[in-house]
Amino acid sequence: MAGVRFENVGKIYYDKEKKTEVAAVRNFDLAIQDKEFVVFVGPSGCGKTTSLRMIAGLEEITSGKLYIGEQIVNDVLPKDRDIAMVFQNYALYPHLTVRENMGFSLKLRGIPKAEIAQKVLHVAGILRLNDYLDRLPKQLSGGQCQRVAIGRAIIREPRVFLFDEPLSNLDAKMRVDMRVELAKLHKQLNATIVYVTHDQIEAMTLADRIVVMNNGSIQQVGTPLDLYNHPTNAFVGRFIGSPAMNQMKAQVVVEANVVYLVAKDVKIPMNGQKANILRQHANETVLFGIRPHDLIPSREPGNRFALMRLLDVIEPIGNESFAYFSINGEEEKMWVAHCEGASPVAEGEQAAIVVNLENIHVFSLDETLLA
Amino acid sequence: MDKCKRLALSSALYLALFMGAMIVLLPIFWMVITACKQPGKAFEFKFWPKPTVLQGACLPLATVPQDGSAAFTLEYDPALYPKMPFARQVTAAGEFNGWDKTKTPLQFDGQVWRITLTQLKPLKYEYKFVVNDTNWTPDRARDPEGDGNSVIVLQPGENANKVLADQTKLVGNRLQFQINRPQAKILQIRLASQKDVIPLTQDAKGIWCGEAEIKPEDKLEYSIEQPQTFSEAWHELYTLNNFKKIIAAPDFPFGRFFFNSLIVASLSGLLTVILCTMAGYAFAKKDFFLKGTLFMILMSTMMIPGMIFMVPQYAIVTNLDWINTYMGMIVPHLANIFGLFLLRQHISIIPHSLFEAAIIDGASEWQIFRYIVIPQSFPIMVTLFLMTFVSQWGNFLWQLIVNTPDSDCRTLPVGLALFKGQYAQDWEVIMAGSCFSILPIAFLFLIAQRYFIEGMTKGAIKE
Amino acid sequence: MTKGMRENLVSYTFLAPFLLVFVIFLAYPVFYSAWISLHKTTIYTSWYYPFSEMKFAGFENYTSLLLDFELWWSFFLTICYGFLTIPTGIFLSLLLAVLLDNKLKGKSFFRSAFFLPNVLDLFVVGVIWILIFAPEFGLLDILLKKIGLGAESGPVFEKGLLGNAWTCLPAIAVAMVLKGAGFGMILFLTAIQNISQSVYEAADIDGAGWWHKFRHITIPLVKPIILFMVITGTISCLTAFTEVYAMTINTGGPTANPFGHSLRAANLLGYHLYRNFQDAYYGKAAALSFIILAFASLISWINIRIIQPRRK
Repeated sequence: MAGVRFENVGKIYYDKEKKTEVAAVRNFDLAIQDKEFVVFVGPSGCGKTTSLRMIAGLEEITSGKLYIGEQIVNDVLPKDRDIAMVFQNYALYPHLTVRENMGFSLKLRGIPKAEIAQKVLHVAGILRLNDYLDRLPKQLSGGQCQRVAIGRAIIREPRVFLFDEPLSNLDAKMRVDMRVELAKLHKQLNATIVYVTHDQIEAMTLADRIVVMNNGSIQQVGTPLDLYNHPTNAFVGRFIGSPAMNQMKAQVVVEANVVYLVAKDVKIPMNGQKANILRQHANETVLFGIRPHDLIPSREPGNRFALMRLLDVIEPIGNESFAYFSINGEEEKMWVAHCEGASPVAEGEQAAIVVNLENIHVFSLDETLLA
Repeated sequence: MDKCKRLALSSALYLALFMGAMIVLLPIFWMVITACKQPGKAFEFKFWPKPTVLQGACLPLATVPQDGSAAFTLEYDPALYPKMPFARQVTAAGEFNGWDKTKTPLQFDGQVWRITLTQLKPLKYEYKFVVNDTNWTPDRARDPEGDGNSVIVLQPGENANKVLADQTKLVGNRLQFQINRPQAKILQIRLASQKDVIPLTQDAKGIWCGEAEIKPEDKLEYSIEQPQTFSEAWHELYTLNNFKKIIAAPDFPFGRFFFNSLIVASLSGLLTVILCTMAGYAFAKKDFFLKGTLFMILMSTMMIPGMIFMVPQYAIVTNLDWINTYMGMIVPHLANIFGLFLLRQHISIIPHSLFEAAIIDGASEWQIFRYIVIPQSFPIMVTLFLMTFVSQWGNFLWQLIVNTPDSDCRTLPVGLALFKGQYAQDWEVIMAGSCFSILPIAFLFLIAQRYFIEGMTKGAIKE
Repeated sequence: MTKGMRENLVSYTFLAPFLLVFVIFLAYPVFYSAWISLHKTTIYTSWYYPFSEMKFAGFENYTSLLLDFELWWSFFLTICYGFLTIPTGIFLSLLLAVLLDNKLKGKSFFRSAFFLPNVLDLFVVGVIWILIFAPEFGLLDILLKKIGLGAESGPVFEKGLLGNAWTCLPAIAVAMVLKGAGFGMILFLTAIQNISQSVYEAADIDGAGWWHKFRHITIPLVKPIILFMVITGTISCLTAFTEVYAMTINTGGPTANPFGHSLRAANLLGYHLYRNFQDAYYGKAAALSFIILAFASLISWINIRIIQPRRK
């Protein structure tokens, strides 16, 4: 087992059609610890898969250094990096049985047949694939295929496991099951895992640490809760958490020594530490965000700060409900509020939406965190 | 009513298709039928044997010479051949029953080389003259336009021969005969010089016997009435001997030619597939210097008709000393650009991740080729193999020009085209040889037509 | 070694065998052929290595070919042969494809039967056709006599179809069309079956009859196949050799007398090329190759213009 370290790694593609150079990954600095489960997450085209493939050696590194363990692997061939990879579309060899698929890499290494057979049985046991060993990939379901692909990876006992969106080809239920299974597997294998996904729930549930990427660069690295509670920029705020964070532009206004965020008829008073910081940005336009969980629709706001709004749509999930309302009368700009259990206010009625002022995130217009 | 109409329509359709198929396949049927016919029956419009009752026939028999069998004089007149006036020795070559060339050589009487062969059974014979043991010489007297192979037919035909040949015997001036036709109902024999019928008696075994006084140069006539069995009639029309003849023909190394065809076609197929798969893999999945340019060059070469390359390819093969070799026949056609595109097309749809998985699993380039590319494109490789096999099996023009007429590497069609020898005039035998060229391919097509059709349509639909 | 260099090395290793053969036997010959076409063999040329001692002749080979009536006769014959084979071939294949485009039982049998002649050895098939076309005793003559054509005795066709200057080329054309029809049929069948059934159903609803559907849906959609067949047909006509060699027993057919020249009635361009080659006029043969290539390009270009005028 070993860690992986990126030192200012960059990747530049040459786009043949447009005849320009495109930077897929920029200034990538990251140290992944041994036995850590790190998830790269971001929208498509953000460079997360490219970064993973650079670890695998499938993409050349344009600049910077990449270490696996203590070794610089920029010019090391994939087969000599001692890594294993699980692909989005499984990439099982269609003409080989499950048994042969899993044993393929060992066979290439010239390991004796008896030993291969024994290892295959062992791994098949872990992944509950014993009954399918002599089937061909086309005779398996998607989940089984993905288990075979994982088996193919773990049989090698590599230093680092790479997962490239392994669950995105599965249906919703299977995805949840496999997610749990992966989490279990990580504990069992106790291995370094780098995992790429665009699904932030997968990222939140699986990761020790999450790397949020956008436009080829790292936005924030941290534990799942860290990212949720303390996004360092507006993008991370929007990307992490479901439903997404409500965001809006507003003017910082200081009236009678109180700091307000003002956007049309919304006027939110700020207090505490955040107010002090914002005071220095008086009369500037900023971006602020509130998570749905910090907006609670109620009948009686009491002395808490609340917005009075008409609830357009209520989505009852069962144990919780989401309420949608338009802020500032703009139809397309819907905000989401959240409450436990059923909503106390019915659809189409006026509600007092209590704002948890402590958890308002304020960003500058270039999306960096202000307060 | 509607049902009736539909039934009539589909019957008409079947009929039309059936007729069409018959017409299209006509050459094959005709070839097989001709190949199975008895010698000389190629042009008879008879396909189903009809057991006939031979009746009232009055056929002339062979001229009966004094010794009781047919005779023929072979003559060779050197004066007719100004090219070889000084020939010191002339021999005849050919196939005559019981004639030993060494014991009875030709006699030269100062003008003509001559030999008279007696005791010949009435049959078809072929012969040639050999001057100084090296050159065939045509018998211009008999065959002014011919190629050296002279044919004589001694009457009567085969059938009468069966009846009479072995059983006629001259004792003094009396001709005794036994006729082994137990089924014959009425059998009459008379000599041309006599009006009376020779009385015949049938013995216990069913053999007809009789005898008559005979003068020299007399003729024997007979009439017969006898039902023929189906099997007799069948064998009168059909035989498999033509196949035996072509295989065993002394001046036509059939086995060698067939083997050559097989070697050329299968080696071409195999090597083409290997080359095209390797190159196709590079074009489909690799990125390399000048890839686009190279692709364009190959593409434009595909548009040029193959015949344009005939002269320079021949020149190169000549300069390489590859005339009359397998190399000369096989190598120039290995760069099959159509095959390259077929494979490239096919390999490029193999998911890229499969190759990456193999790279991560530690496969070397060669192992990727061996364990991913080949198994994944195997069906299309089979298609290309079969297409190359078939086209090289019939690549007549090229095989014709890289082989001199005496080459050991002639393929079967070239061998047949340059077929000179004993059976050159026998269509039945030539067709038997043709069968060996046509039927293996037809069989191959029928068992693997899926691959053929796939390959041919892929090439065209892509355009 | 960088990844790019490695990739280049690996790619060219895989390409090497193919490229080697390609360069020696396809690329180089184009230039070599041009060289040969500017030279001629002389009486001093070695019999065994004729190409090493050729004499420079300039454009003599080209001028002598182009000024010779025989070339233009061959060209004319080739055009005739093209008009005899290509339209009939397309018509016949399309007809067969339409007949087979239904849920007929035994359809695959007919498909195989029609396609089978395609894969067979052209030379041998040609020889069999000699047998069929033979005068008096050939199958064709006998069949015609059976249905009461021709005189009581003697051949229906004097000297047989292949022995008559007027019928020789059409007879070859018939044999070749019957041999090649299955190929076109498969192409058309594949194309027709690729046409979505819903297009026809829509036409049914619009009240289109069988002919309308064929004319306005099937034909336009199989037009690329027609173009393909015309172009490949043109090229195979321009290089037709084996069928002439086989069916005229390497004579080029009976003698015809156009404009007082005594020429052969089936002396197509491809065969003409072979004859020059056979007589060791290698320079002329090479020059003729280029002339044929020019004809081929010209005719293909015209075909594309006629069939797909708006294509750019």
